[in-house]
Amino acid sequence: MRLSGLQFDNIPALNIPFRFYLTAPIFAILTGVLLIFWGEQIWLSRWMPITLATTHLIALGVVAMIMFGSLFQLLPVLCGTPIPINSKGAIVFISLLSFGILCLSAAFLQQLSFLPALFLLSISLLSFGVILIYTLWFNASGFYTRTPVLLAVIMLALTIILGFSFLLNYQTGYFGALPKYWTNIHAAFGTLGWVTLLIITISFQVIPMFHVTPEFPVTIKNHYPFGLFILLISLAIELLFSNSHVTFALIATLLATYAIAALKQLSLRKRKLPDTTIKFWQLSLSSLLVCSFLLVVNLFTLSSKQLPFSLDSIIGVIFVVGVVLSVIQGMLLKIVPFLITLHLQQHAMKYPMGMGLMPDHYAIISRQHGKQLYWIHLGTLVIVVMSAFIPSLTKLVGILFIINWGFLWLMISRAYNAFSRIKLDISNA
Amino acid sequence: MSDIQHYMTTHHRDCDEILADAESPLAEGDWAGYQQKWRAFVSELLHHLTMEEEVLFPAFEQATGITQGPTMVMRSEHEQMRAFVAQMEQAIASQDQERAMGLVESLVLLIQQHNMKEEQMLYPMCDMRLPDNASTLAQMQSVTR
Repeated sequence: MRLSGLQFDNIPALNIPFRFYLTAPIFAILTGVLLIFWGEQIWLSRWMPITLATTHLIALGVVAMIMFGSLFQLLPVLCGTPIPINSKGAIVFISLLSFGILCLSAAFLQQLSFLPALFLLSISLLSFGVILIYTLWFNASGFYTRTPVLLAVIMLALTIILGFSFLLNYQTGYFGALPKYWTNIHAAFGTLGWVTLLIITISFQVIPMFHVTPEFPVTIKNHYPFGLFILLISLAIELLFSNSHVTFALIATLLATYAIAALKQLSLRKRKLPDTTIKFWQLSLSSLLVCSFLLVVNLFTLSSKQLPFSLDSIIGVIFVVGVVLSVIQGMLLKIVPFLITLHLQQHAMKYPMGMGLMPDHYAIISRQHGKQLYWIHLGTLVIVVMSAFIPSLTKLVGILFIINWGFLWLMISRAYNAFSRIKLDISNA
Repeated sequence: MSDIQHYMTTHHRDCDEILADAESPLAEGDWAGYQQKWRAFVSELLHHLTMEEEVLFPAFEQATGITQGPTMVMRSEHEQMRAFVAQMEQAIASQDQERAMGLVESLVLLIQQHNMKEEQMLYPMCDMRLPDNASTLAQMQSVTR
């Protein structure tokens, strides 16, 4: 055990994760606007400018933004060490990253050169990646979390390095048109490596912790993150030299068995109070099961082009909206009130007379609003899948995206304002 | 799993079960049933905090010489739990179901993240660093409720 890494009281200032959480919905809303105006084209090909722009707005602007913010909070608890970036550093990082993402999307839409995006994203993402890897390697502890989180971050680093190589190549044309397998590796590392590996690792901790379920089976906890990492590396090597059907099928099997195991854990939860976060988890895990099944189906239909629609795209949207955005929103419903309560409690310790002013969990984000968010999100998922078959519905997807993430932004923003107000009241009590 | 970690982790799980059990009558609005089960939980929770504050933490501090580190944070979180318990008494008195549900949620999250830190770091450190685990464990078990 690394005693040096044991830092129990190193949770970051509240404004650090909240800046990430309040920035991410803006990118989702921007995606919604793009979908309203040019959305129908995304179903034509994954190489369409609008497809590339919206994919990266969501992957970097929404998903990575929220995951980065959460890592600031989770690393001290799960790995006993903070990310050594203060509030000012976080503002600089978020600004560089946000402008980088905007420039990247503009470049995909052929409104700008790739150089500004390359410059801004390399400064922000590479420096953050190096700090994360250094922190996890030298300072972190926590048997079940340190290495899997490190593997997820390595996957992120590989995804970014590949992405930068593509941008450089777009800009210089040095290698000409790159074979498709390079972008497949980039996409597989980003979605299944960085995002899924991190979700799986965090779920091992937060599902038993937040929902009081039995622990995940040790075999799954010990082997699945490593298994997924090794399979993804094998997949990348195989993609370069031959077909990779067996590895893809193994990855799909691993993801499906994880989803079944996690759904089983949730069904065994001991808590009895109704909880919308559970619904978000169930939606996410069910979507992962569907994606795994479709991944295998896709292996048998790739060459024959038997389907009148792109199964690739359907798997992609179910993964992003169904798996990832579900779990992210469910976790935000839980984490936002929790963090506010935690920080207010600590403040109230200094002003015991104000202890009676402490809000409870649902006074920060009401159960009613949580339920409404779930139904809007579920509606978005249904319509986004339908729009693969009826492209004209994509405009509606854009509108729902704006409503969904506008509502979430409002909830987080109100929660933060309530925190500031109650903190002041406690000081004055 | 070694002595202290095993004993204290098992007690954490027992407390979780008792609190989860109390959620049923709360969700149904059965205040008499909830009050009874909530009190059972509070009794077990306070017993756990006392075992740590009066026996385990002093033993850890003495063995390691660290008094301003993990145990200080743990004590502060214990105070936060006691504050939630006090607020719940008011919610029970006014039969405010939304407030009580919100307080249970806040308390569960606080306890769970607190337990995780203890189980993953503090208890293994105690088992590793304390000169006589068996004696410390016996002292904790002899703490009266």
